[in-house]
Amino acid sequence: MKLSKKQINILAKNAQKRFGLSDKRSKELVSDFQNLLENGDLKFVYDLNYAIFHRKNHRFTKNILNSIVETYVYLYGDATTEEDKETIRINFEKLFDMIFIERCQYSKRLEEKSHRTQKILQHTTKRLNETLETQELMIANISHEMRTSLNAINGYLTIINDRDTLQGEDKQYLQKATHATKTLQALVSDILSVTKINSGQLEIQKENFWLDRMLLKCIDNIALMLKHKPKVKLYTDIEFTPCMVYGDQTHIMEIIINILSNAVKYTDSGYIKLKMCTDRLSQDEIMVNFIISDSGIGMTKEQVSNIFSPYSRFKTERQGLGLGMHIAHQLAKKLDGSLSVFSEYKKGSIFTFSVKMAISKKGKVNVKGRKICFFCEDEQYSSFKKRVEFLRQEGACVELFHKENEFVNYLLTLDKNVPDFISISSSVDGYAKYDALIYYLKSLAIFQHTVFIAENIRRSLSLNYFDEVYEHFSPITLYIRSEHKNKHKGEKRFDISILAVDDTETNLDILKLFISKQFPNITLDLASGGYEAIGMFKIKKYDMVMLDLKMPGLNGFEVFEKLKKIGPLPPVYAFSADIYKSNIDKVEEVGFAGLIEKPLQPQKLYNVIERIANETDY
Amino acid sequence: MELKILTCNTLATLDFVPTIVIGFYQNIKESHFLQYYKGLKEKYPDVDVIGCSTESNIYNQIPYIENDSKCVFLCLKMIKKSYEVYIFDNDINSFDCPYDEKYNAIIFSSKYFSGIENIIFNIQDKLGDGNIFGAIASSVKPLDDVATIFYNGTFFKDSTLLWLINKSYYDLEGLSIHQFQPVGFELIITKAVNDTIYELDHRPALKVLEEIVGHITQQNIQSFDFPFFLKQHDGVSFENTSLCSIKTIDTVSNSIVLYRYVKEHDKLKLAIPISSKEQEDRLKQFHKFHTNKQSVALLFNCVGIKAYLGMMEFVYLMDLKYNLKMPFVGFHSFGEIGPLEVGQKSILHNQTISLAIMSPKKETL
Repeated sequence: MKLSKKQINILAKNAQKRFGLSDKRSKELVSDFQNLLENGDLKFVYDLNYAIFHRKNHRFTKNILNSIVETYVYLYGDATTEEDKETIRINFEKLFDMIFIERCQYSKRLEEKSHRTQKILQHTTKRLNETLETQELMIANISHEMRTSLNAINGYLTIINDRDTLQGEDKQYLQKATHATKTLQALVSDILSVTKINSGQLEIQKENFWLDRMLLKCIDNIALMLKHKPKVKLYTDIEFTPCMVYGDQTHIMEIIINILSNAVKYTDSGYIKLKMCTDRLSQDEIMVNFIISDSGIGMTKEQVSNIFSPYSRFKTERQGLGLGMHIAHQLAKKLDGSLSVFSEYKKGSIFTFSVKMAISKKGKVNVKGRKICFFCEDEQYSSFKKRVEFLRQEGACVELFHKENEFVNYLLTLDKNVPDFISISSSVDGYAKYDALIYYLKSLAIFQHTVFIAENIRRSLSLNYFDEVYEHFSPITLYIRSEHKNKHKGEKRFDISILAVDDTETNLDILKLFISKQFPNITLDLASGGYEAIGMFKIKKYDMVMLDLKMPGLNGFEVFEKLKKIGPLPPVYAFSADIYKSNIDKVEEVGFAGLIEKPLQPQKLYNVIERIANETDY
Repeated sequence: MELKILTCNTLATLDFVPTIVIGFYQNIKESHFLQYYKGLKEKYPDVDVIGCSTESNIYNQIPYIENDSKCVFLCLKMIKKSYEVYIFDNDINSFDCPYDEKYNAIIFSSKYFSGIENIIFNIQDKLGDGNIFGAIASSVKPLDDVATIFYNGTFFKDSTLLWLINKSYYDLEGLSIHQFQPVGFELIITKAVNDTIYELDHRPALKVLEEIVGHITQQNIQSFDFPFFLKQHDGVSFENTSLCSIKTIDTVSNSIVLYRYVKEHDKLKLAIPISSKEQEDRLKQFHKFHTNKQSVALLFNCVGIKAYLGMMEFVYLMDLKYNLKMPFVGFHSFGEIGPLEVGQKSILHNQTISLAIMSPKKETL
């Protein structure tokens, strides 16, 4: 069948208009089409199919389909003989078959393949989850055992150290053993953190907290490390932020401490600088940026690219598994924050951690009527300026001195209406002088309730009479504490009864040593198993119970259920080395008052006991 | 290098004296191929003719895939003594020829046999930085075991042909690509004899597989639906191991028969298709080869690729034609030899598209 000139022109123009082809290309296309009709040459069909594949555009494919249908209708209607009609029918059938029918069949097969792939993936996911669960259980068990053992080792070492009976080499061995235990504890903690992050067990626990207090805790955390690096100086540049924020303090601290520890680890001389600044995002939200820079060994480009990979420690002689930065990075992601690094080899590194936090409506700085006196030398005034302005705005009566003689004169001539707080920021030598002055002032009755604060001392100084000493900066909340002086008026007497249940004798031993050291009046009864504990609980009233969760015979949960049936329960704390979310959740769910972690952290335990003692009517 | 790709219908139009002709024929049409060989030999007495039986032929013209019984010929006029051809029995001990570092190589084997992987490895070792490509001959019915190779008038049923091409005159480069990625846990072969796996992870092999993929039908086998990545050496990631297809299954012994020989402690991972976008990206790797106007490509597509892509395979071939910008010829094979990345060692795979590009050196153009 041969197309007429008129038909060729119409088809070419149509192709031109519909597909935006050039005159030449549209004529070539029609020529190929002519060859299909005339000689059965399939070039046209193949090219069309390829064009559809190449473009991957539904509109284009639809356009081709419409064009084919229109061409068919036009040519079939225009055909004058039955033979031409048959040729048109046969060739268009071929065209449809190759372009659409085969393509549909292919798509159908792809769909079937996709179903099969889904099935394989479902099976794989199921197996993967099972494996993860087994792994989690295994790690939980191992960690439980390790933490229990570490609890014992750490506890005994602390007690030996506190008794201070060792001398010479033995003392050194004790220090080395303590150091090795701490390293091991950190390692177990790192492995647990990674496992928790990887298995999605990491829980974000938001709370209200003060940024400056949090940073002070971070600095305290690395203070010991810094002591071993006398040539390294820590500087701080903390933006004054007089509000509470709402965020995951624990994990934010973990990130900052990780970076700071690394900075200390890899800096042998020079500086480490901790900077904090904020960007207000909205009325209720701020972006907090923590920038930690150092003049340490720095990193090569390759090292920078691997810094957040697990086990990426570069200098093998430095301690650790190299998990710290990996954990920090993962935590930052989990907090929807960002952690980035810039480093120059042999020059140092800068880590920037940014995280959004809500501004808490709680924690207003209520200093109305409080009398505060500052002494700071002129050059340091800028860092005080915002604080002084803020305190005045909040209703505090602030006296500010820049000159030493005026300040001393003021203190010595006061006879009534003394400040609640006196904050001194001086030159390095000045503090010792003021320490002696405070000794004198404290002998006067009028200064009995005044809190003396040393700020920005910048190095470790032995000051005996200041109530609060801050190497870098003081927290704003310092001025809202009402019973500050109570702290120094001796410990309260706690006459409560505690029942502690653990199948491991060493754990009970250590618990007893720690508690009796801090609270000599507390009665601590020990039970080495569930049934024994139940028997004791039946015959005596306790103010607090500590239950090991993993015990042979009755486990902690079972004992808890049985205690509930006996009578009203005092606060019952789970005592466990298994700190997986699933375990913590279960502890909360069944009604425990909380979980005390193993290895035992004495201060946390003391806080719990103090809280219970304060709530108990004794 | 003068070259032409011709079919039975166009062979008479050959207008130069070839030094070597590589012909691909369907095994059921060996007699036809022999006739064409005789015709060629009569006209060009010095010509070498290499042949390989196929399931179907591939070349760079419509219809791209020749499913009927025609033959296809790559006629080359190469520099004298620029190549050598050897035929060996399919026995690891028989491979002994003077190959050395001056050659690249193309291999055609009449069938898969025990130790072929080692032979490929050993040849590469001897060729130094020389490249090696090739394919296992195929037949219209996979299980018939009637595939052959051909060399100057003789069909060989249990042999391998080694075509050594001198690197001083011709470059030979290329790549094998596939469309899969490993998934899931590795399965350790705990009982196997030759190409048959009886146990995976100490359990009946077929049951283990069906637990993962569901019931396996004959249709699945014919469509090569469940290829494996086969790891025979430690220290290699599954991504860099070869793909192998299931030849058949036995529901009585609960065994799986592969197109490869395996041994106990070999490891398998199931392969699942990568996305269409990734497939096309992989195909684009072929576009990157620097060639000249006298380059020609030998293309070995697994019969599994044909089964997988079905009627759409020609679209891939057209893409190759438009982007490779050189003629190509080849066939659907029962195994392909080539590297997964340029510069890597060649391995034997299933379910790949393997391309070997031969180009005369610039100075010989």
